[in-house]
Amino acid sequence: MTSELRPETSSMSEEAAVLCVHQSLRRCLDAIEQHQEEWSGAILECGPLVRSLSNLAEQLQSCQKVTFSKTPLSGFTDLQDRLRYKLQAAVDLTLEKLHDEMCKLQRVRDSVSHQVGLVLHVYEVNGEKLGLEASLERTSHSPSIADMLEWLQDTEKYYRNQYLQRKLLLEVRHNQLSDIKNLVHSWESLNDKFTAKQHLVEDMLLNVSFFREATS
Amino acid sequence: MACHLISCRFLSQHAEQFLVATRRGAAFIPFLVVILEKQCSGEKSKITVTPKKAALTGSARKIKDNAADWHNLMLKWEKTNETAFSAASRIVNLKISVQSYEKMLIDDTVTAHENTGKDKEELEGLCLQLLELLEKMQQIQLKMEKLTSTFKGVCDLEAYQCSGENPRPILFHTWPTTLFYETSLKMSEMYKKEISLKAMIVGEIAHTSDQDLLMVYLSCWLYQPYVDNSIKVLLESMLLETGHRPM
Repeated sequence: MTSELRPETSSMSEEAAVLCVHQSLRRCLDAIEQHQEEWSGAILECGPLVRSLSNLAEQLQSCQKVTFSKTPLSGFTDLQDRLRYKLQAAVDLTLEKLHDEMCKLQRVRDSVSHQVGLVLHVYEVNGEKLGLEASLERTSHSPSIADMLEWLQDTEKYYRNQYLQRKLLLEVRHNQLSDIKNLVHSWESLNDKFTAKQHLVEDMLLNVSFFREATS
Repeated sequence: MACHLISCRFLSQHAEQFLVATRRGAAFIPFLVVILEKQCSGEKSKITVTPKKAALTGSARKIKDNAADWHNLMLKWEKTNETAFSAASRIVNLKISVQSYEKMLIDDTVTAHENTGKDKEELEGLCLQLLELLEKMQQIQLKMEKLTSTFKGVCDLEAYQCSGENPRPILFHTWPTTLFYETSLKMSEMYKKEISLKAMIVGEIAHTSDQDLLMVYLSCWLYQPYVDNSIKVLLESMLLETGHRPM
């Protein structure tokens, strides 16, 4: 009812609220575009590392299976232990490198969560002034605020899930060699499983490209 | 000595006049002119007047060169090892594919015989290549042993020169000469053991059908279990001590 009494001020404050939310959305989307590059870069780096980890596990398995004393290697008494030690060290080194990459993924996840949280906060603060219609309104070049907020939440969830699943995969123990050996399949299946969702972030960025240009 | 000191002080006090005079007269020892020029501009450009340490001679020279040789030999070893590893892994891949082919023949899944002769030729070629590379590595290892014996020689010479009450000199920073020999011996022993392992692998790799054992051969070749990780520290310490690496 108040809007009928003071139509001008109401539309003014609604406009200001829309602008405020739009700007905060744009800032968040800009940041996500940059983070997506970092993310895919880190995932790309992980591929060869995971493969070499699987390969090392296979070598360790063979090293354990072979009875050295029954082979031509019997003359080298401490060879098995020495080889195992070297292979373990190589596993540790690879895990360390993977850990560095995981840290990059974690940073992306945290930063995106933070940015999306900020946008939602701005939306909540301006929620009353904004009104339902303004939130749902969309034009040919700009999706609705509600849509964009939903996409942002999906994106945040995607990064969170991906990070967690990959992190859990890498929680391997040295004695579970067959697990490490199969790691490469589970790691890649994580990519495959999400192929439909893999482009989630890219698609969202494409959908909002006109909006970002218009508000910048 | 006192006279020398006075003349030096005098020279530095009147350096500029001296320079002008000598340039005009052009009858001064060039070496002194250089020193004077440095003294004149020394404050501004902060040129260190300390002359470069005289070129090493005798035992120190020999030890420094040996340290550099160790570095180069180890690089060469690593390079040859990589090439040899790719040959060895090709042998293993060929062995495995031939094995599965033979198994298929027994199972009557395939009948053709064309490839077997070609495979054998390739296998022989690769074995020869691996053998050559092994010989190259054996030569490198022998050179390493020679370096160690040179260190031993330097130590013996020093022991002979310093027999009696004379204290043994420290040729570089902190290492006594014997430490160079001990380090070199330690490194040399690692490579000696490693080359005997490699020689054994070269002899067996093409005659094994056990895939796990083949895998162990390859891991051994690549990860060199007898060359300890500490070898890098040993080499770097030697390079640091002899001044090849800056402090």
